[in-house]
This record gives sequence, C-alpha cells and structure tokens, in this order.
Amino acid sequence: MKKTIFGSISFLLFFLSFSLSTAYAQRKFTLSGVIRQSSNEKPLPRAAIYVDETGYGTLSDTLGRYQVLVPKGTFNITVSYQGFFTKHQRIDINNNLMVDIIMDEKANDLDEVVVSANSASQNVKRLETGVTNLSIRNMKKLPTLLGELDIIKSLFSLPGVASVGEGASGFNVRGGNIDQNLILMDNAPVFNASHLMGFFSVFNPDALRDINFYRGGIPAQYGGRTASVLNINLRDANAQKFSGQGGIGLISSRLMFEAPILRDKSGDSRASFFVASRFSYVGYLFKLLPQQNIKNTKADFYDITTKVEFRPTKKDKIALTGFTGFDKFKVAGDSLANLEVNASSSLFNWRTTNGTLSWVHSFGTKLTSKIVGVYSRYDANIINPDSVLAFRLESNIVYKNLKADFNYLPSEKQKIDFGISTIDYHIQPGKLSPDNANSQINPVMLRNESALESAVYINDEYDFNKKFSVLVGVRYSFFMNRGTGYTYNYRDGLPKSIETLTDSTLYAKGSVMKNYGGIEPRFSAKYSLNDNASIKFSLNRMIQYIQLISNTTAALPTARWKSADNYIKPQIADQISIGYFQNLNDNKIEASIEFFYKKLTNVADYKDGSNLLLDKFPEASILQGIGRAYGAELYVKKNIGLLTGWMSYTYSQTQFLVKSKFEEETINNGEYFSPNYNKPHIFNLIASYQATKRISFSTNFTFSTGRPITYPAAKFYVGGLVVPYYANRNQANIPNYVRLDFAMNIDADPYKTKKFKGSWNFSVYNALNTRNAYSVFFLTKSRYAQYYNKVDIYKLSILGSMIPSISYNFKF
Amino acid sequence: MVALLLFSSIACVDVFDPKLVGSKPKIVFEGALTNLVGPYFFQLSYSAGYNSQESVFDKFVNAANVWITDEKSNRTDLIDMNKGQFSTPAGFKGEVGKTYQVHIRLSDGTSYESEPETMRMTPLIEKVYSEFKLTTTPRPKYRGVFNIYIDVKDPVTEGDFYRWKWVHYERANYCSQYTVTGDKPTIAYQKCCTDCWNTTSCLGCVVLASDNLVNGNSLKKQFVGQIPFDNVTGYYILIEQMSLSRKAYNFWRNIDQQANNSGGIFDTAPAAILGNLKNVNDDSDIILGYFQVSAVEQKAVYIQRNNIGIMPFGFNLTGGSFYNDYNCEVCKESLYRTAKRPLNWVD
Repeated sequence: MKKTIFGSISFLLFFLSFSLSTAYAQRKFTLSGVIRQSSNEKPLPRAAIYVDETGYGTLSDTLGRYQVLVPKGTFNITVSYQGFFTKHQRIDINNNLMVDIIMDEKANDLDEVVVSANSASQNVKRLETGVTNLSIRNMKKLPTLLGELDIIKSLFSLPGVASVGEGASGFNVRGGNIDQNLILMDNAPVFNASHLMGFFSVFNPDALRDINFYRGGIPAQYGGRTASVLNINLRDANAQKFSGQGGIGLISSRLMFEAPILRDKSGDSRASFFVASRFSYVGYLFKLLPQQNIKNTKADFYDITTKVEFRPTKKDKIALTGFTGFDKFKVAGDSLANLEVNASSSLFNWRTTNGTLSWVHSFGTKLTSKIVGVYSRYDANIINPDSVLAFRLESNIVYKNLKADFNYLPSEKQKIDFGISTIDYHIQPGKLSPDNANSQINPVMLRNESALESAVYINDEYDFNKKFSVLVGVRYSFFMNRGTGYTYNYRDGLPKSIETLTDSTLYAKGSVMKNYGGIEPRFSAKYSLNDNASIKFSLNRMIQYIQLISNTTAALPTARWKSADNYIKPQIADQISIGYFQNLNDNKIEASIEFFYKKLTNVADYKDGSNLLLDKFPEASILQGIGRAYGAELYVKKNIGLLTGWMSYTYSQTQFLVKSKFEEETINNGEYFSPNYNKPHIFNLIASYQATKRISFSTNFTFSTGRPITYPAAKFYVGGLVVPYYANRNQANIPNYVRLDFAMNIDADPYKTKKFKGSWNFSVYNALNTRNAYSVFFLTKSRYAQYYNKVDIYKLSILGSMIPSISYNFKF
Repeated sequence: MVALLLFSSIACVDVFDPKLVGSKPKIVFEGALTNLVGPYFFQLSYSAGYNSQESVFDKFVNAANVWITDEKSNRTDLIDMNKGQFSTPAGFKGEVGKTYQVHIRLSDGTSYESEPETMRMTPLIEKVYSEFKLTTTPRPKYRGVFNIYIDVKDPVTEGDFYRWKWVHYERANYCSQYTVTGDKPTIAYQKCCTDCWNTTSCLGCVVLASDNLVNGNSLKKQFVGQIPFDNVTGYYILIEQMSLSRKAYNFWRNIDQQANNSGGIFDTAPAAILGNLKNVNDDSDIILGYFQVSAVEQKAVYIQRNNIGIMPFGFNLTGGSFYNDYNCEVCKESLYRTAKRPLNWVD
C-alpha cells in the first residue's frame, strides 16, 4: 500500500511540475472521472492513474475523482489500487472527456472471494476448473430477446451449458438435468428461476452485482445439487447518496433505487438499502397472435428484489435480502391432458418468496465468520374455472436454512473455509380442492413431506509455491426423511404398481422414515507451467437429496419436488475434470480447454405413460438408473481492446441406462440412451465492438445439434386412429439449431456531466430468420385416417422469425 | 411497433419429413368383447413404417386360430371371416363379472395371448343433454354445433374407468347410385329393399373418464361428443358407455395423449403404447393393440335442433326426390350402413 501511494505521489508531483512547465506548449484536454470498484460501484480514494505514453499521473481524491491533463491523441492509461487488478484502458481524446474507471477486486475481505470476468490473469491463476464469473456490466451490451436482459440466457453462451429449447425453463450443465443446478440468490435457493414459463429468468439485472458459475471444481461449501452452482450475488446496499436506474422494454419495465439510511459522524453511510422492481405487460403480445388458442393465453409477471445493509462497526455487516417473484399464465385446457380433467382453460400461477438474513463479522485480519438464515418458499398452483369441474391444485416447497461459514487465513499461502449448515424442507406435493359449491371434484391431499438435510464442510487451499497449489475439501451431508408419512409396501417379485400394493407402514410425526448420508470429497490442483499457462485438475462428488419430478418436454412450473425416501434414492454425481489454461498476447486473450467425465448414480426417468401429478405412489412411476456424461470444452476470450468477446465450443455426450428385471421398469430395452437435453455439439460466439465513445455493436452466434427425439418405429391402426409406435428412446435428433443476434447500444454522452444518463439498446433476435425446430411432432388425428396411409409430421418453431426490439435504460 | 407486427408470425409449424422407414411389421389386435348381443368382431392387421407410402390396410393375418377362454377354461373358437376379421359364433355373449382371455395361434405356430380381462359393471346413464355453440371460426361449415353431455352416477367403488362412443343413425334414402350414360349422363339412385340406416360416428375420438378425482360422486356434464347444426330435425344418437379396466384406460389415454401432442412444452414424452397381449414364448416379439372387455350401457336420444331460434346455413325446407329407379338394392352391413333397427328408433 505504502509503496503504491508513494509511487503515485511522486507521479503526482512529477505531473504537477511537468504540466506547469509545458502548459503553454500544446493544447491540452482534461481527462476526468471517478474510479470505482466493480462489485458495488463504490468510489476508490487514492487510486493511482497514469498515462503510459506521457508518464503523467495522479491520485484520485476521497470521492474517487481524478483529473489529468492530456494532449490530443490516443493513449493507454494504467490504473492501480492495492488489492485490485491493475487496469489498462485505451483512451482516444480530442476534447475534455469524462471516463469512469471500474476496478475489479482481487479479494474482498468481508465477503466471499469475488473475481470478475475482467481479471484475465485469473484464468490461469485460479485454482479450480470449470468456473466462470460474469459481471452484469459485460452482459448489458449483449443482444436481447424483446429487450429483456437475462443472465440465464448469457449462461447458454458458456461452454458446457445446454437447453431443451427456447422457452423451456432451466438449463442443463454437463449432462445434468435442470433440477441439478443449485441456483442461489444471496444464499437463498431459487426453485424455479423462470418467468413466462421459461422465456425469461426471475433475476432483475438492476439488482445484480455478478454471478459465479461452477460446473467443475465445486468448493465444499456448496452441496445438495449434482451438476452446477449458479451463485448470484446481489449488489451491495451501500449507497452513499440517493440514486437509481431502470429501463423500459417491450414486455416489462424496471425501476431500482438506492439510498443511505444512516450516516456516521464522518458522513459515511452506515446503513443503506436498495429496492429493484420489474413489472410486465405481456398480455397484449398474445392478443396479436393469429391462433385462437394462443390468443386466449394470458400472462403476466413481476418481481421485487430488496436489500438492507447495516454496518454497525468496521468489522460487522448485517444484511437482509428479500425477493418475491410472481407469474400467472393462462392456457387453453387441452394442453393439460395430464390432470384427467377435461378443462376449457387452466390458470397457472407460481411465486417465489425468499428472505436472507446474514451477519458477517471479521475477527481481525485472519478470521471472518458469516452466519446466515434463509427462508425460501415456492408456490405453484393450477386453477380450473369450469363450474362442475372447478378446482384449485396447490403445491409448495418451503426451505429453511441456518448456516455458519468461516474463512480463516493462517498465512499468505493458506486459506481455510469451514462451516456447518442445516436445511429443513417441507413439501406439499399437491392439494386438490373443489373451487366452488357445484364442483364434483373430490378433495385430494397428498401427504406433506418433511426432511432435514445437514452438512459440515472444510476446504483447505494451500499454495506450495508459486507454481503448485491444491485445494482439498470434504463435505459430509446427512439427510433424514421424516414423518408423518406412509411407506407403501409392494408384493415382492413384481413391478411396483397400484395393483401390487399390499399394505403401508405409518410413521409418526418427526420419526425418521429413511435416512441417507455420504462423504463428498472435493479436490482441485493447479500447476503453473509459467506465468501464462497452467494445468488444473478437479475431482468431486456431489449428492442430491431432493429432485424435480417431470416427464413433459420441459418441466412445468407446477412440477413436483420429491425428497429421497425408502424407494427414491438420492442422486450422486462423481466428476473428474482436467484443463489446460493459457493466456496469450499479454493477457489480452485467455484460452482454455477442459475435459470432464461424470459418473451419475440414481438418475431419474419415468415409466411410459405415467401420470405424475397428484400421484400418491410416485415410486411406482419413477425409475432410477445410472448415467455417464463426458466432453471437452474449448473457450477463448478477448478482454481488452475495442473488440472484445468470447467463443466457446463444447463436445459432450450424456447417456442413461435404466434396466430392471421387469420389462415395464426398463427403458430402451435396457440399453444406454440419451436424455432429451443431450446436444453433442454446441458452438457460441459473442463479440462486441466499441465503435465510438457512445455507440457499440454486439453480436451473438449459436449453433447446436438438435436435441434428441424418439421417432416412431411404426404406425398402426387402432380405434380409427393411425397411432405411432415408439420403440427406441431418443435414437434421432431434430434439425440443428442456428441463430444469429445483433445489438446496437447508444450510451449516454461521456463528455457530458449530467446526473441523468440514458442509453438505448436495439436488438435483433434471430437475425437470420431461421425457423429453428423446437420439436418434431406427429399428428394422429388426420381426416379420413380410415382410408389413407398419409402421416402428418410437423416441425414446430417457437421463435421462428426475426424479432427486433428496443429498450431504454437510464441511471440517475 | 415493428416488433409487435412481426411477433404475430413468430411461432410456426412446418411440414417436415424425417424419412422414416419401417422395420418388420408387427401384428395388431383390435376388438372388444361386451355384454351386448353378439357377434363381436376382432381384427388382426399389421403395422407399417411411419411414412405416407406404407399401408396399414393392405395386409391381414389370415388362417389363424383365435379363441376366447373364460376363467373356467370354457373355450370359444372364433370364426375366420377373411381379411383378418374374426367373429364370435352365434349365441356367445359376454357377462359382467366374468374374466376372459384371447388366444391367437398363427399358421406358423407362433402363439399370442392376452392377459385375463374382467368385465366390470358400468352404471346407468342418468341424463343426456345438449348445449348449442355458435361457430366463431371464419368461413364455418356449420352455423353452430351441439355439444352432447351426460350425467352418470359413479359407483362408490374406486377404479371405475369409462369410455364413451356415439353413433348417429339416419334412414338411408337410397342404397346405391350409378351413372346413366348417354348424351346427358345423370346419376340414378336405387332405393333400399329393406329398412336401412346410414350411420355416422366420430372415428378416432377417444372420450375417457376416470373416477380418480370424483369417486362416488356424479360425473356431471361429461362431454361425449359434438353434432352439427345442419338441420332442424331431431338428431338421433346412440350413446355407448363402456367400462374399462385400469390397463385398458391407460392404453386409450396414452393413445389420446399421443393424438393431442402438439410439439409444445406440455407434451408428455413419447411412450410405447403397449396393450395387454404378448407372445407366449418370446418377449421380444411385440404384438400391438388391445383385447378390450367392457360392459356397455346404451342410451338413445333425439337431440332437438329446432329450439334455438335460428336456422342453419343453406337450409331450405323443400326436399328433392331421391330415386328414379324402381329396382331396389340390398342394405349391406358396413361401418357406415346397417339394416338393424337402432334402439328406440321413432319413425
């Protein structure tokens, strides 16, 4: 610190004397602005800035402001600050110019380590494989669908991430199902991250700071899901003054503001808050659609994210985060043959309600503790208004978590994380009630499930020398499915079904019905070949005790969460990954190649034709098997310069094997098959070009193999219908997916010093106008089926044409 | 605004040809044994590749031995009617409570049999009624339709499954037509020699219900079918309510679900629709279709179409003369014509 300050002061003195002597020699312009940290936009006082070509330098003042005089021309400036990555930026100056400079922390003493995507050397130096960090700032310039910035969509441009199709909820990571991603928003799990079924995600971009996405070396503090961790960090509520931002788009508008609540004697804020909200007005879009059944679709959503932070002392930080997101979606009833009720329409609604209270305390410089309490609730309902069959089907999952995390830094070379966590689950899998007095529906109440999931963990990261570091971690998790509840018994030697049910065992309230536990080792090692290249290796086991039960193409918001029980075993994923990481061209380009192999135990699939909604005996429908996933991921990224972006290519294969001695409990004749999200080739290219100070262009290109499909092996005539007969599961693929998007951003004029700054984003989604297949389907109700052998096969494109959009964003 | 205009053409459906070819055809069995007066007909056909070239109608299983046994091992041999059709002998009638099994032996000795299926009772149809609905789609064929509903009291037992079919009968005005050649070719009609009825039914309609959520209550306003508003005369329909076993219900429900899949996110995963028949010796040889055993409850009604205050499209009260040939033609039994007088028919 001292060295930097002295160095900078000498620069300052040098600059002052030099500028005085040469002031008359050449016309000079003022380069000024504020230096801020990326995570919370807090100004950084006494940061050093200097112009490489001239050697002039200065320090920022207490509010992070700086000012240097520069002649006309193009210059490289360097900004440095203790604990932050040194930043290089190219500046083109021909007038007085204001440039705000954003610095990325190397480590944040009070919080988890936050590394931004900008810090190029982290590519090589970070220990784990399969980790990506994205800052929301980088995403804001990318092309959007209908003007909505969506972080889940940005994930799809990363290697190893796939989706079933446009509008499908969730994402698939390295062969994992959508329920195998642990999505945490300020420590609270998000059980359904979708708005509008799956077109958009619930994360309001204004409320986000950055995201850490783990798909390879997952540290031991995370557990409970087998495929990935998407850790979403909300922005810090540490505003020094009232400010806000927002946006107006075609389907929703956003508004966020933040302000200090309490100041100390020196005027610094001790407590601050922010509230970010988003409201949709989607309904009118559906009315424009020609198809009658879609025209009657009604949809709307909103979400509110808020956080209050209180810093009573320099060593304590207490934060309370709240989130609620609500959706309603009304569809024509025949879409819901699943429920055995012939309804004319169905109204889905779903809501997430999350709250997190955390207290971070620092015991000197070496030990930090974080105690967190989480409440998370997800509700999903279906309502049918038809008089005699009117019903309301309610389901929910309630998650309560208490945990303590410790971060101990015994020496410069070692970092130890340890902690303990316990989660209490309450699942109401389905409660059906008649919705009016005439309704003939009998009430059905599936028994609530209760479970406890506890874990202890320790991670020890040790740097043996500059070249070699290891992280050894272990997590022990323990799961108890608790009463009140029934375990059903089935006749031995026969497949489980309602016909082979013999009797049931009742467990009293609180008693343990079934427990599972296991050690989850996590290991990562890194060996640096030189300053610019390293080899990394990770090995880990993840255990998942609750899972989403769904056999529709994409999971519905009302799909059921099921805890592991007597019959349904927890899922386990063992992953090994190895990667080579190289930075080129003075860290301007980072590149990596990673290979992974995953062994999956107890993957879930379903008996043909099973009906999972309101199923009292889910064990008779769920089949469990084994699986394997392997692949290679190539990633190249350019961070610096007017043209930035990244390219990723993934080759992967995922296969399941579900085999039993009973024919009806076997899938695909007991041979390996691909789940419906297996897409072997995925290529993405994202590029953005800063054309002028205000105008930038960006583009996104995606190619992927079409998802697997089961084509009929034969047709047969029965009941006046020509019916497809399916034999082998997912033996073919639908046509490949190709999409190109463009965006143009017009930012606020950096030469002006107005407080209110507006920017425009013009996007074209699917600029090639490709009719990408979402699915291929077979119409069996053709006219005169009794005479003709014609079959009708169709390809459905959900977003099958060019979609331009415009959005306006502002800051004040 | 441009965006909005374009959005209207976003979701689209295109014809697609994955060029599927068939493998070895599989035998398909279809037919129901009921408690109505026989004979009952069963069909043995073959599957074909899922494409528009191969036919499911040109190959039949001939020269097979087909017989039905009950739980007391009483055997009834079926009569080969050719073209893969087999019928029960005169006098054979299914009974509620009895369990039946079908057996098939092909000429090459391959043997198939069904699982035992028990005939479950089915309750009375309490009430049949209709509701008029104006057609709202552009350029409709009919001005409106009548939705037919019934009320049924579900028995207190759990696991009652239903399937409904309906048949419309109208007097056949003529039994054959031919073209009189000459300078001015005209079509001549021949009247039927006996009483004869043309029949219309909804082929390929699968209307099902389960008492899963309404056990012991009334199945009120259960939709059965839809009839056209093309005349103001009473419309005769015969409603048949069949009891199904759980397995038969699942079979038809799977077929109905596949028929309703539209490629969207709600679609259920494609499932092999397997019935209740299997090869006796070889599990890998799959036989498709279902041997259905159902009790049938019938109800015949005339749906009034003259009480809604409007006239159907293109309707005039002057009827034409239908035949100019005084020779008559036999009323041939087929899927679309019968000489059997329908239940409760009023002339």
